[in-house]
Amino acid sequence: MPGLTGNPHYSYHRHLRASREATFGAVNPAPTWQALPILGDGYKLLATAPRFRPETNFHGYDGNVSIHHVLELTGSHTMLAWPECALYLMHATLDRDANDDVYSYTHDYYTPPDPRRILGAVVESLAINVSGTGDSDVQFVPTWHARDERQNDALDPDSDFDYTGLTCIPFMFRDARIEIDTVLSIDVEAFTLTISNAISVGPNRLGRVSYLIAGERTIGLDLTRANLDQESRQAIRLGTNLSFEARFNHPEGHLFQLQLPELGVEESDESASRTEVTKEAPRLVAANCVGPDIIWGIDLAPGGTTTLPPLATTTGAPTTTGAPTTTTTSA
Amino acid sequence: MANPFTDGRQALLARLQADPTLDAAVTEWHEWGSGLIQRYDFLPASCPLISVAPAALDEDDLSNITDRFPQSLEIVILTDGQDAEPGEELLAAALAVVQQARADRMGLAAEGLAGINPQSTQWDIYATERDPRPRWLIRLRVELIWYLRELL
Repeated sequence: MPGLTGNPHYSYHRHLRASREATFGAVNPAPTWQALPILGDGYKLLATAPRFRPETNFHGYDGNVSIHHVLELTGSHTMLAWPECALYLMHATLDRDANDDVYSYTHDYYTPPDPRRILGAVVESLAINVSGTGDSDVQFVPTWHARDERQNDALDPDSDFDYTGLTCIPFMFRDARIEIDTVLSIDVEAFTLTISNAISVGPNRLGRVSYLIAGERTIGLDLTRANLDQESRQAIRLGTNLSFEARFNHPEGHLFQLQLPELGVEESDESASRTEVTKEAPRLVAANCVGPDIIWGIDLAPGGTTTLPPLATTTGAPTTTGAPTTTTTSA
Repeated sequence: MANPFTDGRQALLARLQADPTLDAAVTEWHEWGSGLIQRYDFLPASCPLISVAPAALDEDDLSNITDRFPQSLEIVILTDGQDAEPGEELLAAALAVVQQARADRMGLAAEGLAGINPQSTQWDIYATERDPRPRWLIRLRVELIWYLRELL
């Protein structure tokens, strides 16, 4: 809808930046802002104040008690896989502090009518959607859960958002495959990888949530388009060891790799019984019995050549640490 | 003033001119740059002729700060005579150059060149009343995909 200037509130009028917080729910005293480009209307983190109506058994025809519960602040943000932002979001999703908690972030979201500051945002889940091998076919969708939202009229769209360090071409999907017992490969053409941090919401404190705790991490893999054959279906039914690898490339030579060394099938109500032929691609869930559940690497050096070791080596020699491996070289 | 569209067109032209097959065969290059006026007259004496000209530009809104500009260039190959083979040979050589340019993005990836795609090729046979022989006109469209930030 066009505003007073005649320009639609779309595309270039919106800006988003984020900074890691030192204490939950407070702006970092020395913030390092990372500007995050957003797709058309891709920022949907909004506060709502849900109310509930307890049954008091003590009311007439003219209404009843309605109580404000706690400010709920969740929503997602869609972004293409700009190399620097992909690295930032992978860290935001997978990094855990000494207490095994995820780090919280302050967001500044600028729109002409309503500039806002969002405090205490943690990544509830991150979905990496890969829908094809062209450009703009890799999308990062982090779902944030935050503590507080405030008006921030001090935001200046011209000086507060610095996009200069960002590469202007996003990562593009190169290939992905599934290995069965490190031998047979299944070609995966489209998939969604979801990393969920299982955020638990703390109690109400002055109308805001007092804390957000990250729980057990679950990494799911939905194969949207995979060339599954009889052997792969049998492996899925019999619980053979599956592993997954995806690679993304970039014209400037940046690399992005994802590996899930150990995958199992999560049974759902809709999945077929053991005696039936599995008709659709199942949802796979990463395990960490012998090593880390996810291994990833992003190389930001121009013309970088740092790659992760091949998948077979990774599964053969289990890593002792569960922390994600990051290969980061600043440009 | 330097701009990506000129850079891309000139880089592709330079790649075509550096190709040994094309360099040996082509009599006249239409570069559409400054200098002596070149008329786009298809005289038999200037054949084989290659012209690299800007043809079209599109624009997609990619995000709040980046736009995607598919820039089309038209490579025209003109050969004299009814035999289609010389034109096809030049076309094959030009396509090989385009494929090589696609692999390394002509070194312009840092400027935002994300891809180079050959799009369509059209053959036309054409002759005016004065011409003793027909000429083959091959139009090859090549798309350069640019991701540009705050250009406009």
